[in-house]
Amino acid sequence: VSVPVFDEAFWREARRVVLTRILTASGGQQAQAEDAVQEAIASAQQHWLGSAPAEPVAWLTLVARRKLVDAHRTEARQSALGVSAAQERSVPQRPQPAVSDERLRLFFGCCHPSLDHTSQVALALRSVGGLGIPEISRRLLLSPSAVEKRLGRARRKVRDADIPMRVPTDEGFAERLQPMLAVLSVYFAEGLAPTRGEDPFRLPLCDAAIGLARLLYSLLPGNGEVAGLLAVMLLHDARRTSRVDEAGAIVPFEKQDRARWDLALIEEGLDLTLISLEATPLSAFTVQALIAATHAEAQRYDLTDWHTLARLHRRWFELSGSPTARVGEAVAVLEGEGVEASAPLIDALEDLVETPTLGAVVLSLRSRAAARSGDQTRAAGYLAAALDSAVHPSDRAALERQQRSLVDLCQTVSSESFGDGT
Amino acid sequence: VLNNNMRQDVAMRYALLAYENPEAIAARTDDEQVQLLAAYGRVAAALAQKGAMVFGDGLASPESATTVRSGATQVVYDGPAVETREHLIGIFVIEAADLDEALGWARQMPHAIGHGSVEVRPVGV
Repeated sequence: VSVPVFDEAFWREARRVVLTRILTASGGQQAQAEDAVQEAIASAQQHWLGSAPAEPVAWLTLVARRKLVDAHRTEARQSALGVSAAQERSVPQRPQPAVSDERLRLFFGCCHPSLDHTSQVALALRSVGGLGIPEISRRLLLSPSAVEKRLGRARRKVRDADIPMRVPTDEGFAERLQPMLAVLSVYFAEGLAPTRGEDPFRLPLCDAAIGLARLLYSLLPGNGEVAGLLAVMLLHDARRTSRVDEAGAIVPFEKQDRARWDLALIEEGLDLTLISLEATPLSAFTVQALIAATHAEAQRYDLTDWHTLARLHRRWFELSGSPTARVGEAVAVLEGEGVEASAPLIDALEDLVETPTLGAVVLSLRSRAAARSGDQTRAAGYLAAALDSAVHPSDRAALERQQRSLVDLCQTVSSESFGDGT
Repeated sequence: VLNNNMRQDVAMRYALLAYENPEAIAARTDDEQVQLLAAYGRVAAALAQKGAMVFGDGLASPESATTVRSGATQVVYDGPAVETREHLIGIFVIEAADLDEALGWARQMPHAIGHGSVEVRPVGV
């Protein structure tokens, strides 16, 4: 990871990039946007002495956007005196689902430190979350028999060692946070792209996951990882209404009507992304939030900043070793730089071809790259292979709708994430 | 799986196995050895006071071990059964309501604090 030098050239380039990104949010008012960027840079030059945030340009963008929103609010207040401060601050929100406190307690109970990470997550999802073996196997990139084996072993240990399934005490909280975050992200991912059934979504799962993440964040306010996870969820959930057309069919990511994205949720998601970016050390969830934020900042699909996305996926991989991050980087390079540049990255995914579920995405990516280079025969071959290796009906359906975007395809599969472009 | 509280009233037995690497054992001064034993004495006293102590003692070094191994012919040989990086150097058997309670005791043992590690295993499955 190269550490940027904060010289004249850096600030000049940062000013240009950040301005481009937030101009949309300013409603085209360039003067206001320029002021916001200037303020963000001034704030950075004051605060970064010694320790700059991990992603300086992302930080500047988020802060500039925040300043712009604040400026708009002040203006609105001045032009409409009489609006109470409380009313002004209240961001329109969809009705929140009743938070199932009991469910959070039970999830925590399953994440007992005497079980390994995967067993904690699988047990929580199976015993409390109500997900089946197919869902868990698809999300954890394990074969169904491997999941069964894990669960069997975990249950035996719970019985033999008499592991109590209770909510941890305060110090026990921290050591159970990692599996909890994984449980909630799988829960949300399964809601966005269900493994089984006819419905394109299982909204109760999305709502439950967001509700639990909010509750967790209220228990651990300012926690960078929880903020990052919640940010990712909100930035994805903001697109909920644009994901299906009026007939109920899934709209590919490229073709979604971005005007229908929920701006209040995006704003909240971006604020949380900033909070999570300011926490150290940089977590994989923060990087995933930055990835989602990068998509949210693009006014149109063809304005997507693929270069940044490629870099963020690399960062994600460095932090977590996630195989999904490698696939996401290859997608970003294919979309941003084309077939030739992405070829070495796609070739390097060879070892993932046999991975349950992710393998189908890799084959499908190859098919897409072959089609782009005009080789329809090879494209068809890879697609057939992808269909062959896809175990779950929803993956097959997604593959069959080849017009569906790669961004969506990756999203349907992974686990560790529900990330666009991941 | 969430209702494994059927044995709630029946205390479980757990073995608390203390491990330490041989270099650390060799480097310990006599004073430190006395302090270590005193620290174990305090844990043992607390266990006894709760009526949770079944058995507890330290073990002599692995060089003093003799192993009887099965096979076509039974063999007796000099040395421990398994060569490990950390040596088993003490055993407590305690009674506890569940794993969390046992882990609570394990966390207090000197080898869980600054000398090595403590493995917790249910006894009599």
